[in-house]
Amino acid sequence: MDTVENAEDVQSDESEYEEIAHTAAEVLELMEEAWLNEKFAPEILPHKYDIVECLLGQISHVEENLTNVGNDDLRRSLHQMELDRLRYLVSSYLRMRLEKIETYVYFILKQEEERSQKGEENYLNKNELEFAKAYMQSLDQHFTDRLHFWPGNIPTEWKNQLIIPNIHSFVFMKAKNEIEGVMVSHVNEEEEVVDLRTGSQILISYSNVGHFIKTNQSCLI
Amino acid sequence: MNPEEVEFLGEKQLISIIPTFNSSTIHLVSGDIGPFRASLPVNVPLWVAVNLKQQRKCKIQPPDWMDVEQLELLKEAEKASRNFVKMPSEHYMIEGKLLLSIATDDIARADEVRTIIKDIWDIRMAKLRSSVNTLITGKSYGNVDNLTIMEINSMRPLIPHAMDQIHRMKMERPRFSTPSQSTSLGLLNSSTVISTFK
Amino acid sequence: MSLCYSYTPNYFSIEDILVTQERIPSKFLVNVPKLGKLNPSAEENDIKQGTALDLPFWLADPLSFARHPLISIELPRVYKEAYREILKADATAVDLHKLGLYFYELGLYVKRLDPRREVEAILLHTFRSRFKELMDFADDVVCDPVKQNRLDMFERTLFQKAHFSRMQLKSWLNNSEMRLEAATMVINHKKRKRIDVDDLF
Repeated sequence: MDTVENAEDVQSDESEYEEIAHTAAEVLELMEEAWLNEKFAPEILPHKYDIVECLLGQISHVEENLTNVGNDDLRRSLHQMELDRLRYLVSSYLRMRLEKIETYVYFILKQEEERSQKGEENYLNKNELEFAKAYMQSLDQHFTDRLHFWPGNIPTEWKNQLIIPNIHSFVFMKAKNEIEGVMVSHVNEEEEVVDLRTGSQILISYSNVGHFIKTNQSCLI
Repeated sequence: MNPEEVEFLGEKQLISIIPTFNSSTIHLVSGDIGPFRASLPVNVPLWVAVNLKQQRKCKIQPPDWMDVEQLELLKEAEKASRNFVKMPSEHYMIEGKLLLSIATDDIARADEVRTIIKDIWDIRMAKLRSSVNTLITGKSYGNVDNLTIMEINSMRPLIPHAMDQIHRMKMERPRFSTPSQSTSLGLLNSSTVISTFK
Repeated sequence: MSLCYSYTPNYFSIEDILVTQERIPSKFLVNVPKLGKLNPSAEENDIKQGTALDLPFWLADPLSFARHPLISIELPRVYKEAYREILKADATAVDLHKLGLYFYELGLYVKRLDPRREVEAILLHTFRSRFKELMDFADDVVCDPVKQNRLDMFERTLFQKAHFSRMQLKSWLNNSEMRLEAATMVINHKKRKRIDVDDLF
């Protein structure tokens, strides 16, 4: 039988930790949801860096505390496992966004530009925006370098050919609250209207429900 | 999403264990667990339970539904129903799979439990397959109420991708030629065409 | 790759380039000097009005759509009535691969040549009636290469993705000891009796 003896001196500031831990669990839920939404949405979604940063803060906080814990302590292995889980979630989320940025870079930057002009909130975070711009520049550079060898006039056609996410992609969605009047579009036919109960799950075209994801009325599963 | 990622999501499910050790509360980011008192049941996330069990630091208290009689009833209900029956746990396959592989000694009639869970899964999978046909032959959306995440994920990528392609087939295809190319005989002077025939 | 999207052609897509490389029946409406090379069976330097040739779609489409079209194009034979009838009768019996590598994708490009939308209807019919088989096929642990060869390129892509994820699921289900090493594909999957239920959706 294993007994953990030095249990009490792990968290020096117990009361403060309690308070954060309470909200941290909720932050984790939000992160999981953001992860799934980003995973299944065909387009890039508004960034959730507030959640990411909060979770990263939690991770370093736990790491700090762990320096005082013995190697054979049960707490250590559990905290360590949880840290690995949290890191996976955060890095997978960030990586998926990078993948979308790389694939749709011209389109995304154009949209961001339009958003800025309209005074709307940007979807990309500052660092992502910087990355996107640098990535686009190196793509431009690459094409300019390669097409240099083109016989005759250097074609510029490719610049107008944006790779655009297919927003008609089908996704699985779960309604977080009651949603009335989901318009289901049909090609060449009239629209159909569907009402969703809380907790309803549906396979549907993203173009019909994207705004419910962004307004947090439903999530992708 | 691969099955391991679904498992990852399911592992936060709470499960009751009987620890064989004492410890004060552990403040995980996902919430506090404990305090642990030897032989007093306590709820922990599934991933913690699996870890403790592997270290022989606890006994697992299987969830109520993991019981032969209850599962038999569930199986009959699933067979009788045209729709999908609501499962006792959103992650029944994950709980079943993990607990039946590490805690068979804590589960009564574990082998029977395993078989029935697999039967229920198979019945539901078969229902899913036959219902896919209606979806493919004309619906613009599909109701997947009461399906668990693992079951929904089993439809990916085939079903949504097939729906995407059906949608594409119905759409008017934008013309291959771009406006700049489609201007009368002048086309033959454009660099693209000429260079191809040099 | 953590993200998995279905095929949507874009300017840089290799598949799309290959699709538009497929040839379609074209007929020259005017004399075109110095393009005789296009016609492998003729010695002349020029192409005469009325010459019939199979041209790659990327070339034929813009030439036929110009304000003063140089050529007229028509449906490839596999989308014409005779073949449509065969597909209508039993699409699952057809070796689509033989009808053209990109039956669906080229079909999407040429369907506008048929204002009665029968090409569109046959594409949908063919895909839908072959789908169940494709789904069953993706579930088989050992893929029969003969069956695979009967799929067109688009079905093949769909099949490969589906097969990969079904095998992942199978190995997850079968990997009941929590081993850490990567699970290999499991060969001896027992087939369960299938039950018949009415359609649910």
